[in-house]
Amino acid sequence: MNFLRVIGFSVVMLLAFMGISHLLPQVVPDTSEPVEVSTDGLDMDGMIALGETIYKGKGTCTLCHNGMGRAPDTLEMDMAATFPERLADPRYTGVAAGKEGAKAIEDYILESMKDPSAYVVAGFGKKGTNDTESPMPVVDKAPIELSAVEMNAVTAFLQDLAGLEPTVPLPSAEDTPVSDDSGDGGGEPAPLLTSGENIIGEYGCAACHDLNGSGADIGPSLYGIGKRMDRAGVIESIIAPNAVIADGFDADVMPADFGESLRGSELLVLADYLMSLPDTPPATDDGEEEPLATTALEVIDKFGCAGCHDLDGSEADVGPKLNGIGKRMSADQIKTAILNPNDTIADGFEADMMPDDFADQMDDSELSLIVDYLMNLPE
Amino acid sequence: MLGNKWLVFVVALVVWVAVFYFIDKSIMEGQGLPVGADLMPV
Amino acid sequence: MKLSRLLALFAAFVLLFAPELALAAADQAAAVLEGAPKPSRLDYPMIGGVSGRTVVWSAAQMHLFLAAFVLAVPLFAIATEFMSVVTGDDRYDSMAREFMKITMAAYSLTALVGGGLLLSLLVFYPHLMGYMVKVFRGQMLIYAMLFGLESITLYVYFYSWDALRRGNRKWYHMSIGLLLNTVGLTLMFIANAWVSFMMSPAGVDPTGAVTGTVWEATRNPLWNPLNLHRFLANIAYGGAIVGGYAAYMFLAEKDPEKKAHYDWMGYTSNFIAILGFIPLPFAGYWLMAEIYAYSQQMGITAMGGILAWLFIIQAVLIGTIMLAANYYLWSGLMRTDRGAEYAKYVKYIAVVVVGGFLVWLTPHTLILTANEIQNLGGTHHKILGPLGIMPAKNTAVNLMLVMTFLSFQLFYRSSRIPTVSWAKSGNMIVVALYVVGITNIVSAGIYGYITPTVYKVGASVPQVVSTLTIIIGSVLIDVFRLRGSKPEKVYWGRMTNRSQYALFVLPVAFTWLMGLMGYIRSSLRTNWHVYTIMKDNSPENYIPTLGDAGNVITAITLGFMAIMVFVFWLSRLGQTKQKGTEDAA
Repeated sequence: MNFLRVIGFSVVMLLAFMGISHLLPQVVPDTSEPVEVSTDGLDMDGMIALGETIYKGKGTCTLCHNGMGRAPDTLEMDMAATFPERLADPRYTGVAAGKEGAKAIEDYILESMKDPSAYVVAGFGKKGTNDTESPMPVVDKAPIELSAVEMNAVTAFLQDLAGLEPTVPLPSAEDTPVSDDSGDGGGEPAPLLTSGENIIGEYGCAACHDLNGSGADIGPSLYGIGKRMDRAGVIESIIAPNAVIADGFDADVMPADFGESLRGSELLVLADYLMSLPDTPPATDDGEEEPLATTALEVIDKFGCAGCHDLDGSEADVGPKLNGIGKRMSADQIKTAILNPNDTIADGFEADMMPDDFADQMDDSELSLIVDYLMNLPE
Repeated sequence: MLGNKWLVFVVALVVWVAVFYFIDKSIMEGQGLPVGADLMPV
Repeated sequence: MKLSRLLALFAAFVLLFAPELALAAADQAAAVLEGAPKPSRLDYPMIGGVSGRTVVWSAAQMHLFLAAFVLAVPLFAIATEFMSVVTGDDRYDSMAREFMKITMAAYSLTALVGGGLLLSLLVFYPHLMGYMVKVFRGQMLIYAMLFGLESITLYVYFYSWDALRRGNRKWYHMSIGLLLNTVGLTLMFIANAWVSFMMSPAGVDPTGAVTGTVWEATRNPLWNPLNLHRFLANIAYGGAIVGGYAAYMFLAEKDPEKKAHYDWMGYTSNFIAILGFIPLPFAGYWLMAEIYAYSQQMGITAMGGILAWLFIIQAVLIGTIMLAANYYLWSGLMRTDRGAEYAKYVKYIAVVVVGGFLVWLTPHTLILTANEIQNLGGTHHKILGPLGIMPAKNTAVNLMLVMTFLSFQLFYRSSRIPTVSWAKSGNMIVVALYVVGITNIVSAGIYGYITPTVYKVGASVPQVVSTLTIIIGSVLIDVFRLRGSKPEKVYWGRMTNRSQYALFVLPVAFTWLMGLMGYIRSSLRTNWHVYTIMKDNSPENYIPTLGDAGNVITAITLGFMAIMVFVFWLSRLGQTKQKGTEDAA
């Protein structure tokens, strides 16, 4: 009897501990196989974007270069003023000492990654070394192991941050591919998207472009894009959509911030995927319609609303922000705005942007789900 | 022996404060950190 | 006992020959300066749907539980034995023997599980094992030989107990015990070298090619911090398990005399557990500081990165252990007639301990949605935020330790009546020490809170030293103050049944806590077998979620509990005689 009580007591305690381990936030690991993508054809904007994602991800730079005082907070500081100060510092005797200009800054940045102790900013040295030894790990060595292209990308990003035109060479086909390692130490829980379909789903591309059988026509169809453009052009169009506008379409419609939001290799994976698309959309089986969405979130996903509207953090700004719409409009008004979007156009937005065929595509149940959801969406 | 216990208490307090101050000071200085008037960097 | 000896022999064989075979293979490979192997994902053997990592994880953790227990008990067995010689109290000697008795059966199981661990490593991670053999070469052979020596001395130490019990022979016996502990600790230090090498490799070049001696690889940066940490934790753990055994026996026995014996044994074990536990946070602090010094990245991964949430559970577990230990000590005040005088302080101690526990639980940063951040006005709560950061937590843990010690001191005092003339004044000196010490801990915490990071870390050292000063200072003063004191009658066995459950909390929470710490220590390497030297490319190279880890740890703890129940049952079986066979031999 005693025995059973003691065992029961112990087991209950164990289950409590186990329960707590489930109650706390779970950091879901990235279990995907590392992907390697070629950086061939990446232009300078692509390099800057790649550099930023490496800076915040694989490079684990933000672990220390943040506001906590471990290392200079490069993302917040005025780097345009800082770089020249560093080069002119009499304590600095490295490769770019006393020089000026973007190229010298490139050399300085690369040197600080490969040999962090070459120059230690005052106050950031290892304790007791009087700022002669840096606590920073060598970036091209384990455990970070950035390749030459990746370090160039980071350099381009930092040069861009300082308002300079990057001077690093663009990658060529001979360069080692970029492997995306989520950098487990980075506290970056967002899973990496490794397939073109997933990336398109996540960023809502199909809401405007005819992709995945969406039939959307706000942006040009991307089928057969590989025939019309080269890879570098596709990458450029994603990062800087207003650089080239296809005939019959308007500028400033596509969000211009994909260079920042797409993680480095995602951009490259997406480009590869688009290049490989067939010339025409695959024939859809007429009999099989997409299943009815049963929750508001499924509706949003199915019709790609967040691709244009800022919905729960998607930050898209092609259409008006929908958070707090319930305070500004009635349920009927919202319904009308979905079915006949051109009846009323919010200030600062243009007509004919939103598809006007939702009346045909949306089931009544789906419509009432989304209206209810929007009515209750907090500010 | 040792007289009034409250008197002992007060004397002990003073002595311990001195002891702990000495310990804190030597530890902080040993780590190269400031002690004393410029203790508060705010 | 026959069976367990056979098992031990078998396990020793496994340990002896497996490394030797691997060694022969490695000798051929080591002819040229070769880097660490770079197995690809497909090079890791897949056996059915079995998760190799979980198998190795379970075996390693189980081996560690058992090894920690069987290495710790001889340490305090010999200390208790020494006590009996010094005090001339034979009860200590009997208890020391009883400590050993319950370890004997666990010993062979330790070896057996160790063999299982080796086997699972060779099966699932052959490349890693090949590399480790290459680095540590003959040391693995020495380990196996020492293991044999450990078995021999352990059996001699235990079975010669009564033969070498009195007079000069006792010193022979204690010499054997000393040898046993020396060998045991050496074994642990060697195993620690392998583990710490994987975290902070030394004696190899950046490609992993062996350039240094075995000693250089052994003496890697994290070796000694790990040694100290595990040494202290083992003592606390061994004490906690023996305490659980005593508590169970206390509940099971009807005979008041035996009840009294097991109460005393439980009290002593709890004391040993707390003794090992009090310096443990400081050893942990040293280990963490060395991790930071070795690789800032690794340090941040542990404290600020994806593992940060673990420390919430760690706080829950340590808080649970502290509360249980304190509760047990408070209940112990019932054992003496003067205990009631001191019982009135318990509520104040309880407030501080519970308060400290809550502060420790307060998370620093929360994972919040954008809306929640807006409602909260920032990622840190205005009022609770300051409680979440290190200075507050350091203050809390130091105060909890001081209070736990105070609980113990109250009981000890209730069992003695001082006779020296300055007893009251002496007490005031102790009270003053507590007052100033606690004030110092709190003000260092506040100072640390308002200053930059460097100062925060710096200010935690005076806190630790304050805690130790309070403990050591008041023990020293009490030694003199209680010199020639009249012992008060202690009614051993005058304890509630409920208080015994506190003694079960300790081993269960300890076991789970050690499992958790194993998970974090291993996770620090992220996706490396040997940090920065040999990458883990297996399909399971990621850090499992906290919940998944919680499941595995719970399962292993349950398994360990089952083994312990078996071990205790075995040790009682040895003294159970069938009716009618009395004195037949």
